[in-house]
Amino acid sequence: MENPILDQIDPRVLGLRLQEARRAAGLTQQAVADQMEMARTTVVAIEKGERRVTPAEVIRFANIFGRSVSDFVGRQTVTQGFVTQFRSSERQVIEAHAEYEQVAFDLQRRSEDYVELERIVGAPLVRSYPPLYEATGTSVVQVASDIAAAERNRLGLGDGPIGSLRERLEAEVGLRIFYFPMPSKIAGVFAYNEDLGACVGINAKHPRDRRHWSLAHEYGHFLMHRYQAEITILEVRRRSAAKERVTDSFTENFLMPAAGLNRRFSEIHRASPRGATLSDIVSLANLYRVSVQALVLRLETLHRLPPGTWDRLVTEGFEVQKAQRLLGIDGNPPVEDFPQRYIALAITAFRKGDLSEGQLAKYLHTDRLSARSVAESFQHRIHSERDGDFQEIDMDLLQPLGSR
Amino acid sequence: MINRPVTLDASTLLNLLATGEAESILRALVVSKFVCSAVAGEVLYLRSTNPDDAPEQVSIDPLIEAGLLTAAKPESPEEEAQFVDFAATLDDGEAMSLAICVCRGYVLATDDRKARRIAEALSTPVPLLATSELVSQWAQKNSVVSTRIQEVLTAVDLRARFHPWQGYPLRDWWLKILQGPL
Repeated sequence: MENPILDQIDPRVLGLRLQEARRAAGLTQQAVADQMEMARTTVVAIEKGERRVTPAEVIRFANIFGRSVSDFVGRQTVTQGFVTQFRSSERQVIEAHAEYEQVAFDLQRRSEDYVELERIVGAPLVRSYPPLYEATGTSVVQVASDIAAAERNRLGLGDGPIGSLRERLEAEVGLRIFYFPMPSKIAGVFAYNEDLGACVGINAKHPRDRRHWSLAHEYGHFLMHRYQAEITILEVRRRSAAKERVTDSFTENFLMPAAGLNRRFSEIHRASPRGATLSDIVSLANLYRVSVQALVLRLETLHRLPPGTWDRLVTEGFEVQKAQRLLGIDGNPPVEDFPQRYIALAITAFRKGDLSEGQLAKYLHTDRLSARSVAESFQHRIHSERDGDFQEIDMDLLQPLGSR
Repeated sequence: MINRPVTLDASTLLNLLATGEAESILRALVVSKFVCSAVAGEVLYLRSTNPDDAPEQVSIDPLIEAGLLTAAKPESPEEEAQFVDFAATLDDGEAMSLAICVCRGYVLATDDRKARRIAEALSTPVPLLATSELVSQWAQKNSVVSTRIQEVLTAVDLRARFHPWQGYPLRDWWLKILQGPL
């Protein structure tokens, strides 16, 4: 080849990618140097971009890190990563739990892939970010409530339940939202920088209502603490921090605004002379996509249920999942890792021949068969009623409509 | 008639495994057949014959053990350089397969649109094969009846979810056979 890729890539960019891959693999520079049969100073120089690597070295690095060569040379978009932000803002957490850093890597990789797909297809994400909200004031609850109301108003959400929060935040704000497995104590992560924008990761292993809550919570961080990378950990001690208290309060007000919830609760009361039943509460929690516990505690705060109701239910052996089953509620439906737009971009690029099948599978974090199935699903064979008959027709969901 | 060694990439291997006739189809190709290490290491699945069952993992190991495929990897600095260069635009398996073909003068068997486009656009284009051509050649050589060819292509459609795209080699032949009476 006339212009080899290793001569085209900025050695500092390649060095940084190799360094991140080494850290993600949990290897020291010395360990890598030993395996590469080179001096540690050479590894240092490569990671700093002071020494170019040969093709044979890139292949060996990829083998040692358990990565693809294309991970290092295949991405044209050069972005500032999140991992250093997490190391700075969550130093203590990451030092105590080294495995948490992997979550930051996972979020960064997905976000970089998203931006790369946008570059390939030529469709950058439209960002409609509100200005940073000032999260200070005399009352945490009041500040959080005001911000939640302002955001609901800005997004035209009224005061009802938000059924499709992810889709709204992706489409109307321009957040990049991913659901992927994390250590069980992590609820979600948030990071922002100019290159990648605002990116959120939610623990896919958590039940639906917890995921919904975590997403609203991370959105709260985006609104109030945008420039600090955040790992939300389900730990009582951390939750008492001022930043977490105001974000929790925002989440509660954003998902369950007092006016709308009060109105719905009053309607339940009017419909049943004996007042709200456990069934009503479980159904209402399902409507708001919040846990039964979160709803009951909110109703206690709003003085619609007596204080200590949740504690009493727990003491009496109330089981949420059992109640949900009785009411036919699926409390843990599967969730898509990637935004629909991300998948559509990948398939568009694949159909145009700008992504190979192997690349498509990699972008979708799946195998070839599943990648083919996903691509196929965007060209559904559906049944359509025509002249009284149901006929099978091809419908290409990615077909341009020639809009102006 | 193919008279040069062939390197098969994962897209074609997956389709061949779906046919249920991979061994016979490869035997009909009377040249050396290679699979690169990046492809050999890829985990492949096929839809189960019962659509309600989970996809089943499949392996090319029996084909290697039977001597129908030989594992290959970049050996020379030139092959390594080509591999890294192609990895800028393809995944590792596709890039390694193409690099080996470029450097050794082999034919590339791939059903991937992008890999084929890149192979054809090289200053010395790499000769290409597709599953359709391998199946067609196998059918002719073994005088396979049309109903069996139809079963084989239907299996590729159903089990590997592969549908010949616009411009795919022998696409019309493929679609005609699929639409014909069984």
